[in-house]
Amino acid sequence: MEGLLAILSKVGFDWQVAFANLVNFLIIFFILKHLAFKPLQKVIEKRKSEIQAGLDDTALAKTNLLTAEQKKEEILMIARQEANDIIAKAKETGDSLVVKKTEEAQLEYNKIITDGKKKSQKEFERMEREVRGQAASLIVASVEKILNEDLDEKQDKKLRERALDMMRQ
Amino acid sequence: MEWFQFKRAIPSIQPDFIFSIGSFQISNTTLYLFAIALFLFVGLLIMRPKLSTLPGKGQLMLEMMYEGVLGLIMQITASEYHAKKVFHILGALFLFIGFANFSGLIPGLTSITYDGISIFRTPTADFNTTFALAFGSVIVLHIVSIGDWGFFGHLGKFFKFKEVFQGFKQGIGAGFMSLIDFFLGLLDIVGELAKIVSLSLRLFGNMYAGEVLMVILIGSLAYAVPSLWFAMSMLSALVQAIVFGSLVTVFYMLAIKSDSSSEKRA
Amino acid sequence: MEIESARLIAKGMAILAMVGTAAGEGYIIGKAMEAIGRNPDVGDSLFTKMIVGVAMCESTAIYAFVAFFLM
Repeated sequence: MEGLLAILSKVGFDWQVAFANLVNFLIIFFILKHLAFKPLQKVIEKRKSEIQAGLDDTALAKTNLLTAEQKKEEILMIARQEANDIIAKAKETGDSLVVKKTEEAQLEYNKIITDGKKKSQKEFERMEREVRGQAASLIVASVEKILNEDLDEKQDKKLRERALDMMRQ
Repeated sequence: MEWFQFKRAIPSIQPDFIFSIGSFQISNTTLYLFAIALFLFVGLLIMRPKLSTLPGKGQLMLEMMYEGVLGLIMQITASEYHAKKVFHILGALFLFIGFANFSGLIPGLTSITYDGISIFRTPTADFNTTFALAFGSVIVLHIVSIGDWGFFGHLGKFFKFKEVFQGFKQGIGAGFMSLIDFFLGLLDIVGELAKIVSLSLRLFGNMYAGEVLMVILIGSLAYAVPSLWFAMSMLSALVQAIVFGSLVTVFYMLAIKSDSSSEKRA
Repeated sequence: MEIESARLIAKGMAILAMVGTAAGEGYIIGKAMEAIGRNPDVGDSLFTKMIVGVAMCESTAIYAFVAFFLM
């Protein structure tokens, strides 16, 4: 042991200094351990967990966004379909309305026309009757005027009736 | 021919004592280590309340060192359980040696003298520091090994009586093979001593040789040429810190039980 | 020959250990670089192993260093 120490002391070994330096290193070790490594580890782990939480949140938000988009698409689809339905229905009702109205108009038109025709027929008949009556009396009067001088009451009456009969036929 | 040659005394290999407390002499490396400890203590105490999840510049640098050292240990241990287990002591070793190596490169710091002795001296360029570190590491490794294998299991690594007994039971050939193992186990005791010596002397030799070479270079040509060696010293300061830490980690992995049994506890 | 000159010669000879160490370290690093070149993926794990190997190789130089100071 003495020899070993003698050899080591050739490169400057002194157990007191070695011991002092070891103690100093241990002091540095404890300082580093308690003031550097542990707080740093805590901070790094905290950051890691925070980043993980952030990433998780992002993933959640992404899925939420996706589902929301899907929902939106679904709702839009339903709305579109509804709109189409409504439009189709409206068209249908409109079409039927147009047809109905057209039919009604046609009916009215026909009615008006028939009414007009009837009216004009009536008018015509009335006028004809009137004309006939007037013409008969005119003829009778004129005939009467011609025959007035040489016809007696009896013959006159007979003649008037004959003329009326003729005209009636 | 004197203006570009600054001849200085080659730094002594023996520790320089500045003053003594009782019979306990305080050397300049001890003083420097104490200064580093004080600096770290104050610096980290200031840094501590500023630590947050949104790092500033200083915290980023600290975290970079932290992650770098952790990554290095992870590479060697290849298991998160062991890396976490040894990180505090090994990380302190890494950072301390790196810090000490680089502190020797601060220009002008060693020129501050008291009684003709520089107050500050690179801690790792003193054999006592590196010996203390290596000795402490090996002691810690033995304690870890005892904790893992049990006291007799740990002794059984070096005195392989059991293996010899079992070997001769099996047959004469296996017995002689185990006898060779027995002597190799005895050689491991020397190996443990060699671990301390090689760990400490490697670091010390590199740093001390760097200092001596720097003094010689400045003594022969003070301008331009030492800058090359200065850059080289920075590289070797970093590499030596990595080597010391890596080797202790490797020794740790050798000292504990193999992965298959330790994974269960993890 | 004086004892001092003999010691100086011996110290000079001890320095010759550098030759072998340098060659060995160069060989290790060269081989490691070759392996990394072939398979860059293992670069990280190989680098630490290389550093450890270099350190092991360097121990011989350290023995020479100790011998240098013991003389």
